[in-house]
Amino acid sequence: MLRHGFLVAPACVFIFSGCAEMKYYYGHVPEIAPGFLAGYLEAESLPNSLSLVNPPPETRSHAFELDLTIYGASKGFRGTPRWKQAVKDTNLAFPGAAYAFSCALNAPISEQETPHLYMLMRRAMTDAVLSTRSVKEFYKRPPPFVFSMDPTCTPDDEKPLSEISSYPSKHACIGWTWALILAELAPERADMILERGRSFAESRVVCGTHWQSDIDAGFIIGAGVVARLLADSEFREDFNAARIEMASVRANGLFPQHDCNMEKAALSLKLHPSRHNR
Amino acid sequence: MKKPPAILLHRILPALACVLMLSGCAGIQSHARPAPVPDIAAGFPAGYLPPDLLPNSLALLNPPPAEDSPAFALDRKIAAEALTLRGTPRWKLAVEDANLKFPRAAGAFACAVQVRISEKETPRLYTLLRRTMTDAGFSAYSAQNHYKRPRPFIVNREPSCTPDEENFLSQYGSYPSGHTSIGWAWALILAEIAPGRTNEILGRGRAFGESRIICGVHWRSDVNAGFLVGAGVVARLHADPVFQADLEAAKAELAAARAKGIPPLRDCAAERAALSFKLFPDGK
Repeated sequence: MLRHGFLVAPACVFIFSGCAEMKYYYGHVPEIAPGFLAGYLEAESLPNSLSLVNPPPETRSHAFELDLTIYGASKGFRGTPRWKQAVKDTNLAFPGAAYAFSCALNAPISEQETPHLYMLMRRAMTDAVLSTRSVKEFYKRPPPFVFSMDPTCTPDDEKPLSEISSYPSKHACIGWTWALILAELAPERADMILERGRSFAESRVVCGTHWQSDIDAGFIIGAGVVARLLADSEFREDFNAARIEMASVRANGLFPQHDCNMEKAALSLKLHPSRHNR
Repeated sequence: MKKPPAILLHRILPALACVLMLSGCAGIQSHARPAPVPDIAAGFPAGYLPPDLLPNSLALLNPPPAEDSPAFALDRKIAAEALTLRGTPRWKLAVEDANLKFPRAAGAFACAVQVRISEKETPRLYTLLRRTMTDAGFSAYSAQNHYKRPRPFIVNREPSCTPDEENFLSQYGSYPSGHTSIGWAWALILAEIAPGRTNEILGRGRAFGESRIICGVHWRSDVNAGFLVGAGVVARLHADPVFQADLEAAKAELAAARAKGIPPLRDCAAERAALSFKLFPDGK
């Protein structure tokens, strides 16, 4: 009875507000940079990440030794399917970026099939990115490829990446933000989604663009961003609309738009496969 | 697959069935007193979800550091530094944070939220904290039980900040930290309820986890892993309607308590002073 009421209530909201929402979506969310929509939160509402995360490891510390070890182990993945997956995971441009969690969600994520979810991911990505900015500007940590002179998985991005701090990882923050939102949206897929959030972040180490400690800091900030987003009424509206969409996706038996077997095989290669690797 | 202790499982499943039946009305009346929730152990109420619906920490987490690894060397280094804090205000806060018994534990975030959190003043929030503690603790269990990692006070043979609890703690693996999962879950929930205090609350959540390192009962990597588990638990809890109803009611309660200006019971100046000490000043 409880579940019945829970599903019906948002359905009513959706029916009454459907037209207004569509107009809102495609007309009134401005871009803050080419291809990047405005987030939900005002700058002063984002978590103050600089006070939240610890400083990055110093060059001659045990923590840096650990970062170096994990980075060294990750080099064994070059050219493997896991490396190719890491290349895919670098893409934050939509529509391609939405594919990253499609298999974990076991649903298509696209402007056509899940417009509200698509919008939710685009805007939440911006909030996640902006919340890492104060830390990046403060610490200016060199990424692994600058330190080691190794090539990364995306050579064309190396120049811009070398100019900004690798601490904390923006991708890790975005991936964990998405994972936490999607796990709420599709609780029956929570384990797969959360694990994908972690592997999405680890792709940055595989790529040679981030240290493990950059990623750990991204997880902390991403969780904070989602907590703050959940208190935002516009985010909640979009989230509720995305929930209705998911119910329809499930009812219609829609599946991811691309082959998930390749992703599954790639992600079975673990960055931290055994106790000895870490 | 995760397997909670058989005794708890036998008790928790019938208990949860009752919860679902009893709490139907709670989902509608947002200002009402919380519906009764049965205990699964003395002083610990059932969580919102049965253990098999919680995130599986064993699947989510990487394995803990091997004994001869650089990761374990770092864990040991941080543990050794933590030992030097005994008797300091930060250490005393860690002792306080070790206590998960209510009503005392309800005050852990009161200074961060800047409102008294008690059964009397904020009954639904009080219930929310107690029940989510069970969920966040259980979610950590599958990895703890699989890896059975020894805790710092066993490896180092140094007393922890809670000597009386060492026998009890020894039954549970060190990886991941259940307290950290709980503290981070509380922080994320409270930041949603009191967004104006987000930074103070999240900072307190982080420190609550680090208190376990200072106590000598968890390694640094246990605490890092606990942050992942706690966040996953909160995401999954949000899909539960009974949790959502308590969360909404807690928002109203907190606003009312804030309007009344009821101050926290704890010495917030002392807590602030203790928290100004940083365990990782240079990123180690």
